[in-house]
Amino acid sequence: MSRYIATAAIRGANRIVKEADDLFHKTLEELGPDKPIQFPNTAYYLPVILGFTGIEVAKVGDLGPVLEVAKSLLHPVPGEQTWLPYLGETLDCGVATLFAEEAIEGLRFARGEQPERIPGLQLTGTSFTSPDAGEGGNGGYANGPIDDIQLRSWGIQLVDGRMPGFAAIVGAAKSNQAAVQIIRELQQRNILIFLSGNVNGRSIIHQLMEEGVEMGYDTYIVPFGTDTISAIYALGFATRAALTFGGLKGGQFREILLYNKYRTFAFVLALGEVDDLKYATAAGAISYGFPAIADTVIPQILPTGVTTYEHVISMPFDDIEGKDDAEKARRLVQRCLEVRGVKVKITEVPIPVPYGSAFEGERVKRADMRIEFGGKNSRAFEYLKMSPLDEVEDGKIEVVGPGFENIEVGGYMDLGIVVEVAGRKMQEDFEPVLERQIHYFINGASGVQHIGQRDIAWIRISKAATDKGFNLEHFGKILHARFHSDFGTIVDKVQVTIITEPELYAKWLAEARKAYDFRNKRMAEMTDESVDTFYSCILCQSFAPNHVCVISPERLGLCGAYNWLDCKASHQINPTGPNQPIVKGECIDPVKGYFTGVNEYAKQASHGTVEQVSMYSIMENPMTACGCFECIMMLIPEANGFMVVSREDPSMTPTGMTFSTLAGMAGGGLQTPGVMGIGKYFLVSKKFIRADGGFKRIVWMSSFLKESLAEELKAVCEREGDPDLLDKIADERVATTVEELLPFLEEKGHPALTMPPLF
Amino acid sequence: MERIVLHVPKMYADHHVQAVRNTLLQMDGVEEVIASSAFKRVIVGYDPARLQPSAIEESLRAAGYGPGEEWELPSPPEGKDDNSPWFKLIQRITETNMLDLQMSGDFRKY
Repeated sequence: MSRYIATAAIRGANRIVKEADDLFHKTLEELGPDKPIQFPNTAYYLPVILGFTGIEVAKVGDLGPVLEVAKSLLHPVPGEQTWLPYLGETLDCGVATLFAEEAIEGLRFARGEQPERIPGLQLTGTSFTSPDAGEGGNGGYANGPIDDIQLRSWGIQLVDGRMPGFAAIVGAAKSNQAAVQIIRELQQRNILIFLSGNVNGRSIIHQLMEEGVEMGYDTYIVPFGTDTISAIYALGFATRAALTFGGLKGGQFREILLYNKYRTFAFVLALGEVDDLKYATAAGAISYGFPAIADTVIPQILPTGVTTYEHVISMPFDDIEGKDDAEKARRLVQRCLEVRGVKVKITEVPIPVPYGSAFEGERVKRADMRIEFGGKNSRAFEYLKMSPLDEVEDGKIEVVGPGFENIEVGGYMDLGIVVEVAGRKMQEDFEPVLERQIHYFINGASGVQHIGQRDIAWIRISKAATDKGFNLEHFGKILHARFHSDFGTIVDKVQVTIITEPELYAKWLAEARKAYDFRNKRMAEMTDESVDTFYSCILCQSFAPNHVCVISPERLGLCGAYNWLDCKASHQINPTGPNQPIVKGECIDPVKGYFTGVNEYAKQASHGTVEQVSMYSIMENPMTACGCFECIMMLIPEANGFMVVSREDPSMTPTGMTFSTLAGMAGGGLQTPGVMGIGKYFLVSKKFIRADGGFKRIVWMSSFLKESLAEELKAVCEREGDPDLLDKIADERVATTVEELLPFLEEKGHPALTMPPLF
Repeated sequence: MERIVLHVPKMYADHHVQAVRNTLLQMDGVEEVIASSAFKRVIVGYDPARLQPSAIEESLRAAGYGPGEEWELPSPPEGKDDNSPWFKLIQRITETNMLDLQMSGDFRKY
């Protein structure tokens, strides 16, 4: 253990705890002990403090005991004479630092000083339907802590390895070029990037803003703030991942730390000088198993132990071999990944712009746009079809018709993307599964934006991308590379035709529409009765060890990402993977959906936690949930029905809990009758809680769901024989308490009020 | 432009760097500020015709970052004897038994 590091960290911890204590007393005096303290949209209070101590800090006064715990963890700065093994003391002080930092941020929220103001900073949103939406918004603020909604929506990517972990970057890079390259390297590996800290007042956030790098949830770059204290949000994120997906409870600090050591691949990258507080915060991060890498000369801690490999690494930027800052930055990131042991699979896509999932959410605004396909002024479609092996020439990419070179800047044109695939294991049923991937694959290119699918695709290419040489042929190169890499087990040959020539375009569009129509009918005909095999999804067991999803044609996965066909394809691709066939076996109860095969599988795969699973009931042996659910359903006994809240909805529900609070009850692989996590498209299934009365039991629903599924829900209401049913269902705009809900239901004559009692 | 170097022990973290910079950059006559929380030093470039070094120091003092001023910490916690194995371990290691040293030959590995 380095005495220098121990001294700096312990000194920093003593000081920051004192600062937190001073701010606490000042706030207590100015605002009183009952002033609420809350991070936005989270059910986990101040998460690090909750995780370590189990204390639920909801108001200023609650911080008193927390700071006493922090003080009890402090140690004296090592003496000059006697040298000791300081690791335990340093780690204690690291944890005290985290408590103090989180307390300070909590108090800053109470005082209206968070999120931090950063003039000129515009963050990209989380969801949008038009690339022009949200332009000219208020902006000007750092992100602050990540909310539960975003944590859950990243959940599936965190568990399936698409998002291997996160990098907490503190400080400022040597140059803007180095800053951008570090970020691009991490983005290409789909690693989440958290930014905080500064060096001489300048933060990497400022550097990225100057270079026009888009920051926000959509690009995996989250600017927390410009001081080191805000780095606490990264550890809050790690703690909440353990609480959300690991089914752990506040106070189980040992389990939370071990969970992160083995499951969250994260590291701290300190850019620029390292001061006492950065050492102290890094000591806190090391307790989670997250190593720290500095690009300056600092002492190192090389032996393994609390972290999997080295604890602290120094890699002075100027000493890194490389012809320029960009190459040095590339090597620095590679070293970071080695130290944390992050294994990343990168698909080489031969295009002239950076490529990776982190670019999927990137927006191309009209002002930055070179050309647009689809949208208001033109049409774009994409169609993937299976062809015989001898009719497909692998790697053939053909552009039929003119390119966009002669179209004016900011103009538009029609575009068709036809992908023909062949493979011995390929089946016609997989066509839509693979076709849907075109959206993700094309979006992965930096400077290219893709929205929609089928014949309502909408693609934009930025000026920056075309300046680097991106052209139509590169769509083909992307698709060829990615289909081989991700679906190589079922796809042997991939041929792509990009069509702009009007006559051929019209011919293929007609053929594509015929196929879309056929697939729609096929999907509609597919029922749970028409197949003898369901599929499991235990992808999330890496996070929620006892959870099992059972996916049938009429019940998709609760994360919304996997339906029955996806699972079938996934099983073909990886026969020993997380999607295993479950032979239904004997149907014990067709109404509640009990099957012998499903029960046996659930018992075995949940390690005995779940004895039986009812596919169509929420009241009896409902399916468990991990934490990635799109919606939560819960019983409202007074209304004799259920409510459905979507994860996009932060408002209060009639159960007296928000989505975030409810999620704590619904997740973690536990069976709780009356509570269930679901994928939103399960709402439109004929099998949706059939045993409990079906869709007519829904008495309250987030308005987001009503609007985003308007057409589908209208059809469900008609199918249920009550075309006005949707208007009889309350939402957060009319009722956030049971007292408000009941008169509304009575006034509208909601059918649930006259249905048989639920229990 | 002239420069002075000031030792500011309270500036131990980057949020203090921001506070120090904001304080100094608002002063008429300050042209450059380089603040380091690692070295706890600030270099101030100023126009001597418009500003005296004493005014810079005074301004820092008013903002709570007086040159040379240390944090007033509660008396640093001493080694805590809570009977836990950790503290017993510390006490055992702090006194090296010379016999142990003499005995620590290669043969002890076997």
